[in-house]
Amino acid sequence: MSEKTTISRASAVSGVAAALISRAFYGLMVEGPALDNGAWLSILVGLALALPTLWLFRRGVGRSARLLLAAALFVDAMKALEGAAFSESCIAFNHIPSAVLALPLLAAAARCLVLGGDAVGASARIWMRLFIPALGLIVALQWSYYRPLWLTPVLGHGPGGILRGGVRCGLWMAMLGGAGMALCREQVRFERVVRTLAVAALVTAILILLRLMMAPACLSGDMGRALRLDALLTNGRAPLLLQLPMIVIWFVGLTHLLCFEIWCAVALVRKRS
Amino acid sequence: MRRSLALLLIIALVLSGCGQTVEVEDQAYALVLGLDARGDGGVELTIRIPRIGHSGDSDSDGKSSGRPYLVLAAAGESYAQALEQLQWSAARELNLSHIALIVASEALASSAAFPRLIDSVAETRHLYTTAAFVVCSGRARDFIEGQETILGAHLSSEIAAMFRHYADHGYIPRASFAELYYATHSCYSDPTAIWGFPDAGELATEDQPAAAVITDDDARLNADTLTASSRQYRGAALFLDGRMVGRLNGSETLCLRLLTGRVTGFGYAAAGEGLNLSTLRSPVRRVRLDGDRVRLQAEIALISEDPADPAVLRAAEQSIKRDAEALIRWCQQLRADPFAFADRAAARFATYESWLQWNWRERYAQADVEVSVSIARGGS
Repeated sequence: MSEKTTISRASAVSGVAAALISRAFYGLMVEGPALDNGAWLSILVGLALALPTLWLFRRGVGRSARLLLAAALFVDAMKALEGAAFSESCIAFNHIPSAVLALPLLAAAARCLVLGGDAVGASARIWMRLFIPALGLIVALQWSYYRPLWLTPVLGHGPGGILRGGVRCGLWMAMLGGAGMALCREQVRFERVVRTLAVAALVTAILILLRLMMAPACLSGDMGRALRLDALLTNGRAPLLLQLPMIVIWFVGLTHLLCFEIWCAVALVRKRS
Repeated sequence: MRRSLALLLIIALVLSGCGQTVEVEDQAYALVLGLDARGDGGVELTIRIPRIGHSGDSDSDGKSSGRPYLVLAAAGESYAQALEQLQWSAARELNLSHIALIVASEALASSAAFPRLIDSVAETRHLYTTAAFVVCSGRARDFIEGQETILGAHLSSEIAAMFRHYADHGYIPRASFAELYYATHSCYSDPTAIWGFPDAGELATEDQPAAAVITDDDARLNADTLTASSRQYRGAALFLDGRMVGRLNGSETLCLRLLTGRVTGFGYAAAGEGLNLSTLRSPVRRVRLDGDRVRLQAEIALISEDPADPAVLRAAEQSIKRDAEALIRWCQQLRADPFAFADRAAARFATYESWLQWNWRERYAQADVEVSVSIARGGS
């Protein structure tokens, strides 16, 4: 039974990293209000803000803290579920209720509860190996469309916007990093946790920069979540043939995030010590 | 038993999409979308759709068996209402995901209602905004009705190939609807659209010569060329804050392309001789700040494809320089910046707020202009 409520160190590292990349990118570029050019700085600010909380977690997480963490993960998992269902609706299935679209995703999450955290972590490792060549293909085909000048003004909406985004990123990092530390079967060094989150933050920052170079910040009026998703996936500048790999990356990322957060939430509740 | 159940589940998941299948012939694939203004402030939409299964071949008597494309139109008080009417008019599920061309009439593109219409079109579900964007003289509906394929059988591939050819040679700008939408809402440069016009013969009547309807440049082009198509594309429409504010003729559009991108093989006459020129490298654009004064600098590097007289090359350099500076100054009067100078100026600021407070448009309008052109002698 303890195998179902703990996770190996390797699976924790890959699971947390993949989940954080998906969560931060979705949260900063699609879900929330547009941060635009400052978004890639927000993720780095978030790392700094999350470190004190993670420092407290390194000596173990008490039952109250585990339950609080579980609740936060569950709420965030529902946001990921809603985001994935919304994406499905926007891309193809706008005539189907969101609740129906969410069912296969919930089935996948339920299956992960049965398979255990190591299976979720292993799938994240496989996904990372596929993600890199897929991203390489996308970058190569979009290369001539990138406009580096659209990354300026560098601070975007200014320090206030960057800090607001940083607080959100910090919460996600603390939540996912703390869950990984609490559920890891082996002892995890704090430096390893920081390194994992730093690498994930760096990858997210690079993805954000690539996205910003494809479509400029739209300042006159809020684009809305649907148009922000559209600007990411089909933005009208990238070759249409890239839609398929981009949609695959998008949905696999959100599905992993959902499954990992659901598993962590349930495991934290079931864990006895 | 468990394996059978698992297999059944996998099959069910894989085939679950089949319940929503729609036959190709049950959909109306719009290839061209037209936007017109109605006199009462409403919007008229026109689409061109292919007849599925129609080959356009002659029947056994050698007569044409009918047009391969249909044109449908619908109007409403708003874009949403017009689109709803079009759904009814199409008598099929309207599929907007294959639109290759969006055409707006000049009257609509110049109106105060157009910026909002740009948003409405961009927000339309499954309308992919990679479509080329054209502003036409006259009505978009008339323009679309007169479109025909020339070399190939498929209008969508014909449009793509034609625009790629025209843009490579500097006849038109590279303009998609997505670029129009992003540039309208961003804080950088202003977008352009492709300018389209019908054949002069179509417009001329007993009471009204073609020259009264289309500009001298377009009429001259019609008179000097023989084309199979009754729809011509040459020139550019300039936009500012989502409204059309001006037009560039063919030579001005070539200058625009030289200042913003690469042009492959264009003819240029200088000192009584014709030259074949190409872009040697991408143009360099800079924005220099001298106190409150702004200087716009551009460097165009070209190469002559034939070994030409150096004196002719120098004359061509001076001529292109004059044309480019005149174009930039004219756009300055309109406050429109299609040259991406704003993108470079914005890099000097840390936040959007400071950039917007600097009031780029007024500084752009007052800026000094310097263009340098160099033509390397090639073909030896």
